[in-house]
Amino acid sequence: MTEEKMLQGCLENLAVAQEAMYSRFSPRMLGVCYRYAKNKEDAEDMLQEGFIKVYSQIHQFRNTGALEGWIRRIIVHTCINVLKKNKKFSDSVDLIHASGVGSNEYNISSIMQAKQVVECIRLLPIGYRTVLNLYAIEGFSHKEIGLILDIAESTSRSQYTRARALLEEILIKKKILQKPRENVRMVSGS
Amino acid sequence: MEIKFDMDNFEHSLKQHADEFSMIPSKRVWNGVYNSLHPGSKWPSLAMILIFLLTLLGIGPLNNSSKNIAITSIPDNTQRSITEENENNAFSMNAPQKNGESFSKNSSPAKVVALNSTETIRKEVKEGLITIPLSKLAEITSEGKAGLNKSKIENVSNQKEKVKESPDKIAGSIGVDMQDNKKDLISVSKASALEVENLLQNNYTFNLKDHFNLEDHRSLAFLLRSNPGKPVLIQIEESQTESERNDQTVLEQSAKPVIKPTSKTTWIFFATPSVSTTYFTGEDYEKHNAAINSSPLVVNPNQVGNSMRFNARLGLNVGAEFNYAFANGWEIVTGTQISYSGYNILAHKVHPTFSNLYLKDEGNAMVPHKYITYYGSGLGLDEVVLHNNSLQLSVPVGIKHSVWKNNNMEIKIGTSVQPSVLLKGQAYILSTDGRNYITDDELTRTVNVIGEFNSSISFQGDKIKWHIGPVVRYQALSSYKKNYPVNEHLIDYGIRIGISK
Repeated sequence: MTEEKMLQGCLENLAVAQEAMYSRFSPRMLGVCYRYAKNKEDAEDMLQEGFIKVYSQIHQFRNTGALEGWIRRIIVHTCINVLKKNKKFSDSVDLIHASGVGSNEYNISSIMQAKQVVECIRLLPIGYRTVLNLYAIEGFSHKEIGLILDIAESTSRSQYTRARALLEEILIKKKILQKPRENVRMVSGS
Repeated sequence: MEIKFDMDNFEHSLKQHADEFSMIPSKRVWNGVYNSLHPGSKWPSLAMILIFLLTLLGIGPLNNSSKNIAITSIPDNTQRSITEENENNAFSMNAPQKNGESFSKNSSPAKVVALNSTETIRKEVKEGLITIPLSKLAEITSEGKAGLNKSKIENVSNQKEKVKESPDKIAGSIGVDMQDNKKDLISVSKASALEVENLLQNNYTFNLKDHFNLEDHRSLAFLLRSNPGKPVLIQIEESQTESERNDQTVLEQSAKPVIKPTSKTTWIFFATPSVSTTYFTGEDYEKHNAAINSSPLVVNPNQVGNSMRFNARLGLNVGAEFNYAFANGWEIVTGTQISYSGYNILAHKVHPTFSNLYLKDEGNAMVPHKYITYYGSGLGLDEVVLHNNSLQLSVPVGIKHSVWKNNNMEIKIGTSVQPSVLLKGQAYILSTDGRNYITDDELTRTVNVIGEFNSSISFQGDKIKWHIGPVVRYQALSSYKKNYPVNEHLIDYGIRIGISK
């Protein structure tokens, strides 16, 4: 089914078109949700809620950009909203000194490098992780992140700096990154 | 494909890796989305559930309709075959078949059938012949035993039109040549099936042939009166017209009541809520090892019950019981049961520690085994209740005796032996020093024997028969294997509530 037909079908609330769209985008969107969620079940809940929003707002989609990007934005906002409902998340975002990752460390035996990286991201405390996801992966500015998460722009910056440092440390520990030498580009993997 | 992780462009590398990552969502996600977007599509499944429930509700009353009339068995000496017994009285039929062909006398020999139940008569109706000794039926109908009289006969109806009084017309309307004694064609509707069944209860033998149509019990009665001594072929039809239904009402009002004889076999489905407890036996250690027995820190097997703090708990026993009446007032009982029973042990938590349990070895000597334990048997701050329980499947074999009965009630006593298999269980046992509780699945016996004693009072409800009474179940063998010197016997005291048709 072409994207155009799929969109038209979704606008007409046709189940076939909706399922086609879901089949096409849900695996990657679940990957997005997984980076924000505590576990896969929570990620699936986010995905479900996100796709319901996608279908209910499909008439707002202007065919000027990529459909995937539009869906992704809705999914990310859904994830953030779900996290914001959780009080623990609000507390952790303001936490300047997040706890170390040692206690959360577990054996990542995944053969997929992408999965390894995502799993490393998920080892970060949730506040760090969310800011890192929004800034480094979703491409929001610190100002936007501040607005989305109801925190100061400076907090977003400091959280991101710490998140990045912590993630580098984890990636090195997991041997995805080698310890950087000055002016030497590091290559991951074996 | 391996992606280089570039530290100089950390965000870009991170995004690249993260975007590569995807996961397959489970089916429930799409189901949730779909149900949310198309709530109306739940209706088919709801409608199906509704139809299913209505069907279930409908089947019950249909199964209890008055059409299921039981027929007593016919004594052998009353069974007759007209062709065998009285060749002269045997009828000959040239009645037309549905396709218009004539039916020859010899093409379908009459056969004697013994009818034991409604199902049997229906089967026989489908399969072959029922021959009614006409003289007997005539005798009955002329005396009004079957509830037929002349005034009813006068309003004989065909399926389509009513025919009054004239025997020839009646006979003509139902295809009977009254001039020829060897041609009888009678059709009996469902209403008349009742009548036939009544007659069967009077020990008359029926042979049946499906080539003939019996239209109306009044026609039958008329012909019986008109042709005494002649056999009649009948077929019980499934179709029933409005007039036939009216006829049935008249017939049911005038016919003598049909008494349901007791069936030889009965299925009883029951549940037995029970109070479950245990008691312990065993021989002193002295018999096997005097040294153990002399220790003040040893609880002898026969004292285990006194050393443990335990309470009874609720159990449940459900199953299906098949009863076969093999003699007057006596029944053989079998079936299958699942029982959940056990008891609660009052213990307290302790720091993990080792505890000894003396078990018999192959030479019958007592040998200590070490177990790690988390529970103490004394009083402690952190009290805990340990649940010893077993789920057993058993097949009872026993007998029941009716000690008293009247028209409405019956009291029975019964006993059975039940070989059983342990499906699931949990057992905490007292350590030899009596200080701790330990658990070891390998000590649990998987096959056991249960003895059951019960009595019940049975009474007929609106649609079902109820059986209620006390039950005691006793586990004859120990819950544990022979190498554990303590014998534990579970006992259930319950009230059985059963239903049957």
